[in-house]
Amino acid sequence: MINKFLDNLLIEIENVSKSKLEKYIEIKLREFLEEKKILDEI
Amino acid sequence: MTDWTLKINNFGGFKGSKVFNLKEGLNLIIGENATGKTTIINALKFLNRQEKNSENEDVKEGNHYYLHDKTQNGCIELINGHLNYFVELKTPLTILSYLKGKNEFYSKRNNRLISNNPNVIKFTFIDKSNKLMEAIEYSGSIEPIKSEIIKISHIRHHELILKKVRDLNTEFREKKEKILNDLNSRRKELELWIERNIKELEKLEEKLSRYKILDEKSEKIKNLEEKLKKKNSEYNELYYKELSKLNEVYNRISINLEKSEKKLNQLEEKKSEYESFINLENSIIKNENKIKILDQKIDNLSLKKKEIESNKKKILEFIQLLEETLVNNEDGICRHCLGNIDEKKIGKKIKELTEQKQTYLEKIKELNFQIKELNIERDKINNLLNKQKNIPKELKELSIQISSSKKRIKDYNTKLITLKDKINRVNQTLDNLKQEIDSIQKEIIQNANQDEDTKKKKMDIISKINVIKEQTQKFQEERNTLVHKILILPVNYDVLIKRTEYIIDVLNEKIEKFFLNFIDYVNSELEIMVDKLNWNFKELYIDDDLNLITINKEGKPQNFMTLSDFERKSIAIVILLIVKLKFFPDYPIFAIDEHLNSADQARFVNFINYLYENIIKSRIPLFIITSLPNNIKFEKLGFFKQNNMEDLIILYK
Repeated sequence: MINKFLDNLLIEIENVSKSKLEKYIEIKLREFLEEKKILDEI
Repeated sequence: MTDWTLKINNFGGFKGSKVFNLKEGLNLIIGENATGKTTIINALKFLNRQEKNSENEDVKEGNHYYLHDKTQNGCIELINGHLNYFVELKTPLTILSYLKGKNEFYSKRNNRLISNNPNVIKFTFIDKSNKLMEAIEYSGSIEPIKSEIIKISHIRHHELILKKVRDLNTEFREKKEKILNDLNSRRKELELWIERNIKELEKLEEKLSRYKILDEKSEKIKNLEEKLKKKNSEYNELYYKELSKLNEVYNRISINLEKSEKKLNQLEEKKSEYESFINLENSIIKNENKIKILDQKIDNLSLKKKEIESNKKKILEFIQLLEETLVNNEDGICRHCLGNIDEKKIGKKIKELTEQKQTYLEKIKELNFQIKELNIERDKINNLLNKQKNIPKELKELSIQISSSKKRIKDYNTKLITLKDKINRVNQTLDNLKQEIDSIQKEIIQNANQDEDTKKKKMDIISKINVIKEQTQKFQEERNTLVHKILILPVNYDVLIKRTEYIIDVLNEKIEKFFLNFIDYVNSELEIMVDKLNWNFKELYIDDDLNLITINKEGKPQNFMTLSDFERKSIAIVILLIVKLKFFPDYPIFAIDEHLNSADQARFVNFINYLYENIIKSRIPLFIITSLPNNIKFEKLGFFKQNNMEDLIILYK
């Protein structure tokens, strides 16, 4: 699952400009990591 | 293969026009110092738009490049070249600059274009590859360029993600720590409060139990209230029924008494009036006498009146006679008496008689008045007398009435006294009752006040207990929630942390794999190099920590710095080239400017042959090496054997 996520992320970020890249990665990572279920509990 | 024709006119060290045919592949330029070896490289470099100053004019049509250099009034022209790589991709013209540490090439870069160019990474890599060279040359480790390799390779994204995941990992750990600390400190605080509250509750409960004894007092009040109720109803019974009845009777008798007394007074007044008449018994006789006298007077006056009336009658008759006489006179002689008639005398007599008659009339009138007066007086006295005569009879009657009235009054009074007594007794009873009621009420109030105080204190304690209980319950609820959170939150964060750690592992693995592959690739190239060159080392490789390891022919590790300058540079160039080709396989031009001059002829030829056969051939479009002549045996250069010796560019002063 993580590999799939990383593969997709790598494909997605190919089209993201360098200035927005870090932010984009962070958002995507948070989306992936902080699943709704976990976030709700926190 | 098409030549790249480079025309140089009044540029650098060249005066006049020079034409060089550059073959695709390796070009070796040999010449003494200041013969123009480097100028050829620079000319290509200057054709790159990045190197031109603003006064230069340039033209590019397909593979034809032209540059007019106003400073020297010279020009450079490249026909059939592929400088579009340089021009459009902004890649460096040669590696020469880096080997020499000359970075001026980049200092004049158009940053805007670079930033828009996806090949900037190539640029950066080459720029930073100095570090590679330095690293290889001075420490034997290529570790410092690892980050640069990351930047230029696809693995840079892995690194970027890795950095972010690490940041998130740290963030989650810190958050977890912070939240746990916060929650635990709040939990401790709450538990402290709960403990305090429980102690306080125990105290209050104990206090409350003491007030239970005082509850019995309420019973006493109830009894007193019962008693008060009874007494009040007794009082009301007595007051509203008995007393009001007595008072009503009393008032009625009082009214009757008053009436009787009034009547008695009237009777007594009458009696006294009558009695006053009785005392004047003599006056009756007197009055009788008076009447007699008056009767006599009246009689006298009546007689007198009769007499006067008679006289009056006589006078009237005489007047009549006289008047008749006057009427019947004949010649003065009276027919009756025939005497002489004196008319004058008769008239006078009539007058006198008339006057007398008048006097009699007046007298009669007066007498009538006197008689009338006397009669009135007589009637008056007579009435009085009649009354006086009836008095004894009436008096007797009155006396009877009075005595009867008195008797009635006496009866009334007796009754009233009896009633008064009764009323007084009732009032006394009422007073007693009132006193009793007051006393009961006082007692009730007194007890009630005490009870109220107790109740108030009790209620205060109960309300305090309730408040504390409620508060404690809230604290406990919050604590339970906290405990739950304390149990759950770390798990959640641990999940997040684990996920990040897993991603970190995956990425590290990928990056490691990438570098292992990279190292394998470099090492395989280095192995070929060792094999082909047959120099003083048996093995040459990069270990997993990116240290360059050299094993000499005796099988002992050799310090990189103990290698010769030529060896170090050769190794650096090979590594640089293979790294470059790994990431930028279409890089068009490389040039090595006089860096291999320290080599002996055999090694130089050996190395150039190796480069040509294993790296340059069919992989790099244009490769230029400049060198001092130093008795190079060109015939030993394999690539010249295969090609034409014309490929060798020899420059002379």
